[in-house]
Amino acid sequence: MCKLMDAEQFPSLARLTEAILAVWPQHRRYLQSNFAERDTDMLRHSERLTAMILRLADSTEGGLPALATDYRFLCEKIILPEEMHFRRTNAYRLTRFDDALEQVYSRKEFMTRYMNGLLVSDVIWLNHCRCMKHYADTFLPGLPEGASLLEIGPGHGLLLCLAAERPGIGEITAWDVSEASLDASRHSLEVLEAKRTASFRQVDIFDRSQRRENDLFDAIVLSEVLEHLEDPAAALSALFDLTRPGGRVWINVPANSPAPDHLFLLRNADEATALVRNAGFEVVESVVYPMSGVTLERAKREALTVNCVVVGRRPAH
Amino acid sequence: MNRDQIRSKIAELLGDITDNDDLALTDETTADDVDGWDSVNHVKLIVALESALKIRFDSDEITAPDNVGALVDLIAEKLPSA
Ligand SMILES: C[S@@+](CC[C@H](N)C(=O)[O-])C[C@H]1O[C@@H](n2cnc3c(N)ncnc32)[C@H](O)[C@@H]1O
Repeated sequence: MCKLMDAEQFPSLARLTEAILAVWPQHRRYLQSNFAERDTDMLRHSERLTAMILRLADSTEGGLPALATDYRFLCEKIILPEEMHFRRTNAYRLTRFDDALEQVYSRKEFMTRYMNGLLVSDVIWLNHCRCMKHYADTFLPGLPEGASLLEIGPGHGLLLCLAAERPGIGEITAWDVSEASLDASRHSLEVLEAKRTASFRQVDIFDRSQRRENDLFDAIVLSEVLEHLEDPAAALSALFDLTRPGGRVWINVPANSPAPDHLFLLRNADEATALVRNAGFEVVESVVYPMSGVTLERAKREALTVNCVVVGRRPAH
Repeated sequence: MNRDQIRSKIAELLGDITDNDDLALTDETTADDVDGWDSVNHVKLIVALESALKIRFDSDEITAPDNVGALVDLIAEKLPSA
């Protein structure tokens, strides 16, 4: 059978897609049309991201084959049942954090597979991949020289690594409520031999008592976090307090994106923009990336998954 | 419902979802053969079948019915036998 990706031009993508097809041959048609949607610039970005993912894969148990298996598990066993629930009821299954904690976060083995699958989705699912590209190619280069950056909820740490690779970014800080996520992102920076490290701290975004007086940042990143929260508006207002006047936030939040630990159902991009604005930010930019194989119009009409990226600015005065 | 009636029901619902008024299906038809029968529309079809026929699918069952015939068989098992 013909190879999906040209191994000379895109060696990492070729390796990853072959690993996926080895455990999931029925995914070929999806992958084919999915990559046909990408122009050269997008393919280059995908290749860069995949090279990072492959190095992380080498350092995880089971290596690339395990990662590919977990990606299939994510699509078929984790997301599909939630998709069906969403189509039946027009709602996410869970709305309370305690339930997500019990059913998802506390199940260690499940979480590992879930996170591995999501790591692969960051390059395979076009909406995820485009967000990463916006972050690396638009947001980071647009920050002023020496800008301090805080990421809240770095998870696997891919965005943190992109920031650490970017010359001109100042001090980098990472906060997460989960010790496991902090370990994972620390590990990613090490494995990818990032140009520098970050300072890590276990912080719950809602807990003001954990803040320190000098906690003020030029740039704050919140990616795929709001949909996990019971009160996204309160989180954004905490973010506002942490942003230095004139500083910027990069918010990435999916709409119509059922998952076992998604609590907050955003219906469209306008709602995302309104949330950021209502927290006090000026909206500098707002972009929407539909899921693979779907136009923006269709996504709107049929309430399909899109990722909303909103860049906000805290007014200088 | 016999197999032919189930197949017609699938064709009717899938036709609605994919905007194709005269969709013809045989047991051998696969998703690849039908314009617009992608994974999003597959989930919609399954959920539409659930409410039209008062049956329930498990997500394990719907990942890959090889062709329309396999889906018809699956539905036939779920319907109360006449
Ligand atoms: C899905 S991951 C996002 C990973 C990564 N930022 C990305 O874009 O793919 C969500 C992260 O948010 C963290 N998180 C959830 N609730 C939080 C809270 N209240 N305070 C801080 N971090 C939180 C989780 O521990 C997890 O690491």
